[in-house]
Order: sequence, then C-alpha cells, then structure tokens
Amino acid sequence: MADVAASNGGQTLPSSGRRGWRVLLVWTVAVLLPGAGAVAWPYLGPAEVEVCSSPVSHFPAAEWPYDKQILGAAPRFRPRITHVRLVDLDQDGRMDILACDAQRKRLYWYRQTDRRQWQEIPVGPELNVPAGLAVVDLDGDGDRDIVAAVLGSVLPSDERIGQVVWLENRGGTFVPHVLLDHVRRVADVQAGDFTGEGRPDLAVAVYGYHHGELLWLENLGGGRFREHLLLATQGPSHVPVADFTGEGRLDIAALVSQDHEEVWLWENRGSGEFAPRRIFHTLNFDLGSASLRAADLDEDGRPDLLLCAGDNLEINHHYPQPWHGCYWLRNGGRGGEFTVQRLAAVGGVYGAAVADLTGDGRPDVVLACMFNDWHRAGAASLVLLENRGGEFLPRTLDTHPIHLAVLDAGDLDGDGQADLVAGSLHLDDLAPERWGRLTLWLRRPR
Amino acid sequence: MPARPLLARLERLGTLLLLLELAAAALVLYRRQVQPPPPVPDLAALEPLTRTELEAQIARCRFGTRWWNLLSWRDAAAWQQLGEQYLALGYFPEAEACLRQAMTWNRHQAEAAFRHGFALERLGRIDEAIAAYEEALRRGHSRRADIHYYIGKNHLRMERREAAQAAFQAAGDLPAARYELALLAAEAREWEHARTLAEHLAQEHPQAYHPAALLHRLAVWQNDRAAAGRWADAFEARPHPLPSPFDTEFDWVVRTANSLGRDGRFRDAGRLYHAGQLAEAERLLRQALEAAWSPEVADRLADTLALQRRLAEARAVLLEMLTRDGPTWELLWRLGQAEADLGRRAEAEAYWQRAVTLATGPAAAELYRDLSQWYQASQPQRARHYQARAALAEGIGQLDQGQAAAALRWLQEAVTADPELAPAWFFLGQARRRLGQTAAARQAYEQCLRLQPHHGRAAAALALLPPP
Repeated sequence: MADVAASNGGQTLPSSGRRGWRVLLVWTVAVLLPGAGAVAWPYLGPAEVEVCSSPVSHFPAAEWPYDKQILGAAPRFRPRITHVRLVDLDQDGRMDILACDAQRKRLYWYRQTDRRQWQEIPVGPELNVPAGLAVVDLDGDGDRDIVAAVLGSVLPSDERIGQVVWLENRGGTFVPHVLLDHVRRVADVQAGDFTGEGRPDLAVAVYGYHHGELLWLENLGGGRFREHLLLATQGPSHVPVADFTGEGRLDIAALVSQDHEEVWLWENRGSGEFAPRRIFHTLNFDLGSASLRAADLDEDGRPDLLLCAGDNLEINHHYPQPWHGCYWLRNGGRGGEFTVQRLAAVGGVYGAAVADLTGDGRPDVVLACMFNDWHRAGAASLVLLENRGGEFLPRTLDTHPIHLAVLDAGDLDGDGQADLVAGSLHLDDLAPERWGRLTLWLRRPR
Repeated sequence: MPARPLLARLERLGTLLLLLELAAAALVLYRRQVQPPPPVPDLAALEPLTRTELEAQIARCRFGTRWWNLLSWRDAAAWQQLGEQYLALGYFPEAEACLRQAMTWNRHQAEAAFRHGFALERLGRIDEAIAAYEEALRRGHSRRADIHYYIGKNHLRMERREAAQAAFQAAGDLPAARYELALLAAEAREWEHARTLAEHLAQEHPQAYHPAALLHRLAVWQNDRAAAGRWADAFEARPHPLPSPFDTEFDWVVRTANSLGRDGRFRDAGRLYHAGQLAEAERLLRQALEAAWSPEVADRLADTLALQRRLAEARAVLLEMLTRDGPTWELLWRLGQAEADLGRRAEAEAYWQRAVTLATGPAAAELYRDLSQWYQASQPQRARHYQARAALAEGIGQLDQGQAAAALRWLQEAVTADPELAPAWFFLGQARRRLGQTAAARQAYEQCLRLQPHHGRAAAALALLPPP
C-alpha cells in the first residue's frame, strides 16, 4: 500500500506521522485524565450531605487577659471534680480554694502560702464521692468547719449511699462525724440558722436517682441533728440559703431536676416552720437544670438566683440544646416574688459565678460548660456573659479544658481583680489531651 | 515499516484505555450524582479500635457491600448503621445526617423515619423530630402508642401544653402517657382530675413510685400534711419507675455503644469469662486496655488473672487501678483480698480498714461479712459489729427493693448482733410496718429513739402508725 499523502495547510504529512501524533494525543489524554479528574473531583457533583452545627457553642473571644495555672498533679485518668469554692479557710487573710474530688475521694484544701503559690492539703478522711460543701463554724468554737455532702457515686444509683459528714476543725486537723447516713445520694448541703437559736442548721439536697428528698437538719447542739422532711422527690441538687423574702429569716431555695425542672422556695416562718412555694417551673422536662446559685445580680440588696441549664445525662453522650444556658430568677422583693429572664443561650452549662470581670463596676456572669459540642474545634468551655447594663453578651473565655462542671470567682491573688477557678468532671474517654482537673484563670494586672 | 503496526497497536491500546477511563469517570460521576459520601467527623478523639471499626463502616457506606453497588450503592441499611454508631458515640450531627439519608432512600420503612426522629430530638430540633415521628406513623410503624408519647414529650420540650395533651391522649393506655396527663392536670391546678389519674395509676402499678410522688406533691401544694406524709412514705416504699418507651431506645443506644471497639472487646471478654474461657478473655481484655485504659476493663482483667491463680499479676493490675483512678471501697476490698490470698495479712487488713472508712450503701454488706469472718476467732466483739453492719446493709437493700419480708430477717439479725445499732432498729420498724406488724414496728421505732433521741425519721414514722 502506497503512502497516502494528506493536505495540511499546504504541507503534506506522511500517514505514519499523523498516526504518531494521534497516538501521542490519545496517550497524553489517557495519562492526564485521571489526574485532571482528581483535581476537578472536589468541584464536581452534588453538595455533601448537610451536617448541622450547634448554634449555642461558639462565641466571639472575650477580651480578658489571664494567666492560666493548673492546680495539683496532672491527671492520669478522667479527673472528676464535683465542687470548688473560694474561701479563706484558715483565716490568714489569703484566699484559699476548697475542692471536692470524686476521683480521689477527698476534699482538698489548696492553701495559698504566698501570692499565687498553693499547697495541696487533703482534708479529713477519704469520703465516698464528696459533691458539695458548706464552710461554717458548726460547733461555735470560732474556727471554720466543713460540712460535706457525700454523693456515693457520680453515676446514677438509687441505693442509700449518701451521707452528710461534718469535718470538725481541730486546729487545722479535720475530724469526721457522720451527721446523716443511710440516705440516697446527697448532692448539696448548706448552712443557716433557720430556728433563730444561734446554731447553724443545715439544708440538705438528697438527689438520689429514682428516689430522693429535700431535708433540713435541726442543730440540737453537741453534734446532734434531727432531720425534717421538706419534700419527697428525686432530683434536689442545690439548696442555696439566704433571706429571699426580706423578712429577716434565712429561707431555703431548692433546685429540683430529674424531669421536674423547678425551683422551690421554702419560706422560713420561724420556729422551724417552712412554707413551700414553687418559684420556677417549665414544662420542658429536658431543660437540664444543673445548678442554682444565689447572687445579687442587679445589686438591689435582694438575693437573686442563677439557674444553669445544660445537663443531658439521659444517654451516654450529650449535645448542647437550644434552651441551655443561664436563667436569672430576679428577686423583685415583696416577699420574694421572682421574675425569670434568660441571660444567654449557651450549650451544656453546669456552673455559674458572678464577678465584675470587665472592671466596669457591673457584675458579670461566668459560665462553665460541662457538655458542649466537643467534637468541633472552638466550642466554648468557659463563657463570660458581659454585663452591658442588663444585656448579657456571651464571649468565649476559653475552650480548654473541656467538661467544666463547677466554678467560682473572686479575688484570689489579692490584686483587687476577679479571678476564676473551675473544676472538670470527665465521664468519658473523649480527648484526653483536653482533660483538666482544677484550673485557675488569674487576671493579668491592668 | 515495523513502526506502523506498533503505532497502530499503541493507538488501539491508548484508545481502549481512554474509553475505559471515560467509562469509569462516567460511572464515578453517576455514582457521585446519585449519592454523596457519608459525613466524616474528626475521629481523632476516639480510641483506635473504635476508630478502625467506624472507618470500616464509613467505607461500606462509600463503596457499598454488594456487587450491584458498583452502579448504585445507595445502601440505606449501611447508612442507617453508621448513623446509629455515630449516635451511640456522640457524633449527633453526623448521626442525624446519615439517618436522614437512610430515611430518604428507604421511602417505606417506618423504623428509618423513627430513628431519624430520635436523632433530631438529640439535637434539639424538635419540630423536625415531631415531623419525622409523624412520618413513622404514616409509614405504619408498629409502636404507635410509643410514638405518640414521644411526640407529646417533644411538645412538652416546646412548652406546648395542648398539643402535648392531645398526643398523650392519642397514646391511649400507655402508663407513661397517662402519668404525663396527670402531671399536666396538676400543672393546670386541676387537682381533682390529677389526683384521680394518679390514684388509678398507683393502684394499677403498686410497685411504681411515679404516681405516689405526684400524689405527695399534690398534698404539699394543698398544704395537706397528713396526706403529704402518707404519700411520701408510699413513694419510699415503691421501688420501680413506671415503664417508659424510652427504656427501649436507651437500651438500643447503650447496646450499640457497647458493641464497638474497646467496649465491644470488653463485652465479648465478659461472655468468655463467664463461659470459663479465661485465656481468650484475657487476650481481649489486654487488647482493650492497650486501646485505651479503663478501670472497668482492668477490674475484669484482675478477676480473670485471679481465677487463673496468677495472684501477683492480679494484684499489680489492681494497684495500677488505684494509682490511675483513685480509690473506691470496692477496689480497696479487692486489694485486701488479693493481699490475703498472697498471705500478706497486715496489708490485707490495712486495705480493708481503708475500705470500711469509705464504704457506704447496701453493696458493702459483703465487705462487712468478710471482715466479720476475718475477726471471728481473734476479736469476736469486732466480728459481731461487722456482722450487724453486714445484716443492716443487706436489710436496707432488700427493703429498698420492695422485699420487706426478706429485709425483716436481715434486720432482726442486725439488732441481735448489735442491739445498740439505732439505724437497724429504725429500718426494722420500717420492714415491720410494711408487713402490717404495727405493734412490733412501734417497738422498733421506740427502741431506735431510745438509742438516738434525735432520729427524725423514726419520730416521723411513729406518727404514721395508728394509735396503739
């Protein structure tokens, strides 16, 4: 077969030459096509399956410079701090920190030996999951004793594993006395002279699980206490004590969760008589009430209440819910009438503290997030609600450590500025690199 | 001349390759059009065994499991499974996305819609959850009453009283829904209606505490102290919750979580342990611990080693638990047993005494019994003290389970062993009263008050007894 010539712009190529170009073209395309496909792949095809994100987890960063400090040794396994409190326990003029450690089964006193220097001191004997405490001179000897709420188990249990234990301060050594035994899980205890007899009595939240109760213990003197039932219900978790009605007697407020999601006020009528009144309730059984704290947020001289909502322990993992956050139960006076205002929507809130962090003379609110969207970067664990004259703007103070359950605020280092301490309660294995135990956020000098 | 056939062959080969590539590209594009890839969250926080299993499930969703998945791998079952696994591991947004996709592809399956509703609920997307539950009803889901109950609960989340009420009414005879109706009546201050509903439930479910708790509250609200005391007592005496549809979903989520990764190994090791296959159980437990240490797994490993008489190794595992996760009375008790088995009596006793300081609750009965036996010969007085504590713990446990007759035997043993134990007299009174032994109950309460005059619960219980 003779070569076939073809016309091409006046030039003639042999057929083998044209085939050669075709082969080159085909092979070039064949080689380059997969690469081109790989490059184009992200831009081709339909959108990915839509995955929603939590609207209550991320906030603008707070402008609040701090030095972060870790208290105690680094955790070797899930730390479980259940309570933290700023108090000058030894009355030496320096603020100390008391913490309940459910993992190490102890109360710890972080004594401030020098400015920002801490000495870890175990208080009293090991206790079966201490979860709350009151610092009070229970025996009237002039020093500060501790009364501990013993939960028995962080995880749900309906067994009678709770106690109230008085740790009597004998010159810095704390001697235990069991004041209440054979009750279900005790979540909180607070002290106040309810009878007017000059001895501190105790309000006790027996959280339990299926069963629980709200009690007050009448101080009969000599370390003897008689228990009185206020309400038989599962779920009492916090019992702040204050004169909410303005009648000159200490009343008991009580948060009752476990689907009830309500706040009661037990109005002290004197002589050990209390009149119950429910001051907050929602039909939303899933609100996730987590803590209740008395604080005068509007500085009108009447104690208000801050209710934190963020507990979703119904299944093994948790997600921030749109109704989570902090609710302000504002005491309007007139015998303790309360109005409810939600301060901010923040996911998984467990603890709140009130302090003027911004230095503008107005009390701000700080929130500790126990359950947030920890699988996504930037989910807040510590949130400042900046008080802009009644409007509270959420700002992320920190994202690490996660699972912050308890919180307190005050001037720790004596520089006249508020500092923060928070404890982590880790119930799962998620992200050990983000575990924490006790963390301090100390305000840098202005 | 030899270049021509070579070129022709190269051209044919190249063309064939190109055609194959184009066909593959068309197939891939088609597949991409008909199904997006599954969402993949950051799995770095997971322990490696679970992560690997989850990645395998993600691959099954991406590439299918059967040959016809080559053309379309809309494997709704695989996506649903991935969604359930995400949900059990706390990746809720990804779980919802997968379950949504499974529901969309599986247009007739009611369970897919139900599970999607459950996932939406976890995210707090309540109206969408209600819509998904309604879709499950339209698709003919068999748990109709349960789904109406869930819809009612979601209306409660949104604080919609009337809608919730209607949904609970649609749930028919479901006890949990009837209880919600009683609660709603109480919230609306329809006291009589609430009381009637709660009393019916209390009669039909004599072991359930929910109706008694509500009746106690109604009495507190109405300042009826006598009724409040009676129902508080009934609340205490009823050990169980009302049955709830949520129990089913709770079990499902926990079962899924416990089937994955380290927890799956732990579960399987438990089965092997109970079947006596200790070596295989040990292998799985060590795998699980290597993936991520946990006290539960370590505890089972210590048990497995102890059963194989490898006592020193078991003790080492328990000591590691103590170092890493702190003390529990159960752990200290076990350490004491390990020391005793190794013949180290002083160490055993030290651990047991530490355990006794820490222990609370009925489960500690075994610890006290061990101590009672330990001191039987050397310190009989001390042995009796622990015998009384063991019997008291057992008695309280039985009483709280609603087993008053069984409790009675233990509590009598407790007061016999230690007549000065005031709480034992109180709980003995409780057991006797629940068994209708009024006079004997009075005696027990009075004895408790003689020993401990400030025992408030004994005084309150006495007031519940009819006059002698």
